[in-house]
Amino acid sequence: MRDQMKRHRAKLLAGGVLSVAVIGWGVTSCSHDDHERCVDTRDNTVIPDQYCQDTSTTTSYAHWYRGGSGFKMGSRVSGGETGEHGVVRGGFGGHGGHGGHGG
Amino acid sequence: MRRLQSRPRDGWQKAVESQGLVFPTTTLDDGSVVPYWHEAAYYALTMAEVDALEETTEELHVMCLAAAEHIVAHDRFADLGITDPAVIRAVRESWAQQPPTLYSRFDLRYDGDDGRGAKLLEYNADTPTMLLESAICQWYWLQDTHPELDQWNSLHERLVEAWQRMRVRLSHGPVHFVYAESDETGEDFMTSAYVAETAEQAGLTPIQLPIEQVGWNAAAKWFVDLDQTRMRTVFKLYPWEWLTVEDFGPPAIQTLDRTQWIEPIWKMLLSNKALLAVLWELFPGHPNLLPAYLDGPRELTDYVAKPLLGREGASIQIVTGGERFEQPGEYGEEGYVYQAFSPLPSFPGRDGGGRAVLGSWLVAGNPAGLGIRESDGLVTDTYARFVPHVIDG
Repeated sequence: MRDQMKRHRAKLLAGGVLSVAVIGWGVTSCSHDDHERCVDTRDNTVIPDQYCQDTSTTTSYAHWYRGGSGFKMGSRVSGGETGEHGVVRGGFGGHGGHGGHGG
Repeated sequence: MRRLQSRPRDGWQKAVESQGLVFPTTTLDDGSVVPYWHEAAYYALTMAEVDALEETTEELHVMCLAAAEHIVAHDRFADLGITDPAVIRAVRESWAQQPPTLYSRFDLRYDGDDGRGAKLLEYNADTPTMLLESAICQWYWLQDTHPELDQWNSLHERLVEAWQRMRVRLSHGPVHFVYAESDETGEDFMTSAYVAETAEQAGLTPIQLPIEQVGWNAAAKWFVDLDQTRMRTVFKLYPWEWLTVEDFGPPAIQTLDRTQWIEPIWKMLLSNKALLAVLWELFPGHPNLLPAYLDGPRELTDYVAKPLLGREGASIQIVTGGERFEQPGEYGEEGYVYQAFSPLPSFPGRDGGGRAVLGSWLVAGNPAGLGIRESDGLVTDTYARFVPHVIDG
């Protein structure tokens, strides 16, 4: 017989922490980034997303912007962070979830 | 292995939910609700059985690696339905480099004798789920109901240890955990959240996000998360055969040297059911394999036709006694493997009993624990239930 103790488990387990994460399911699972918007960095105003999704150029005035204030089209943003230009999303996930329970 | 009846704990549903299981019950097509986490029964294995099953798991994994090597060395990719030259090249390079792998799970048919005769049904080597139930829920169940007994279950510790060992081979920065947001069961989110937690306990910084929200910065040629943070290491609960054909598939393949994916792309070789036929070709008559072929059932009169990339038993066809049973599903275009039909053993019980399939886990290539699912019918499908186990004797 092999060492039976090797199958014993330490008492430190994860349920409490995980439950916090999983209780958040339903909130985070639909966590599309509603706060990210495309901004014209010349005047820090919100512009249509298509300008930020343009991947044909490496330099552009259009950058994604997160946090802070100013969300409506044409409004001025402040207090947030400017991200990178040319980021496209939605290129993964077309097949949906991968199954039912326990597969 | 015996199946024993057990009185469910008071508040069992809340207990497993508090441990993170988001679907303790299953709603059937007729609207009735049955437990997914089923503790009105449990399985008892002897230590000798567990030792034998552990050895079988080790041996099968070594054989599977040999089969992967054979596929690469003999250019058998077409047998797996892999024809894209870019994907083939990426798999070859990944196999040669052997980047870190985290976990996988064999599904075994086992009739409960001496642990030696378990038969390989499939290898979930890319995106296995049923992890939280196996690692956490059944361990707490054991503590609550049979604290004097043991369980074949070192999953959690081994996952944490695997991340710790892997750290030196990972890029600096956070590890991203991506899952399909459109999975309404919550299973993908739950599983990736649990794996993320094991990474965090290993000292890594996990960031979880839906795979649908992954961004591609074409100018910089890297993937970014919702904060525009570059994604250097990604744990994905999303199959490679899907990743590679979606819009971001080409850039993902072109930048495998910039983003480390876990599981690595070479796992496509093991998660494809053509593996069963390659194994039978390389190890004919092996006691833990069932005859399997790619070009038809050959001499088999009773067989199962399994789609090469099928999931949850969908689209499989069982031919036995001259009759044909077919599971609904949308898989099969990619081809089938024909495996000898060996019905799952039925274990009786006052609650009706069930047909059990063993999920034998590996972490970093080493046996790590057991999860048992039961079904009422011949196929372990999405309505199967999880039944805990003990080591007793």
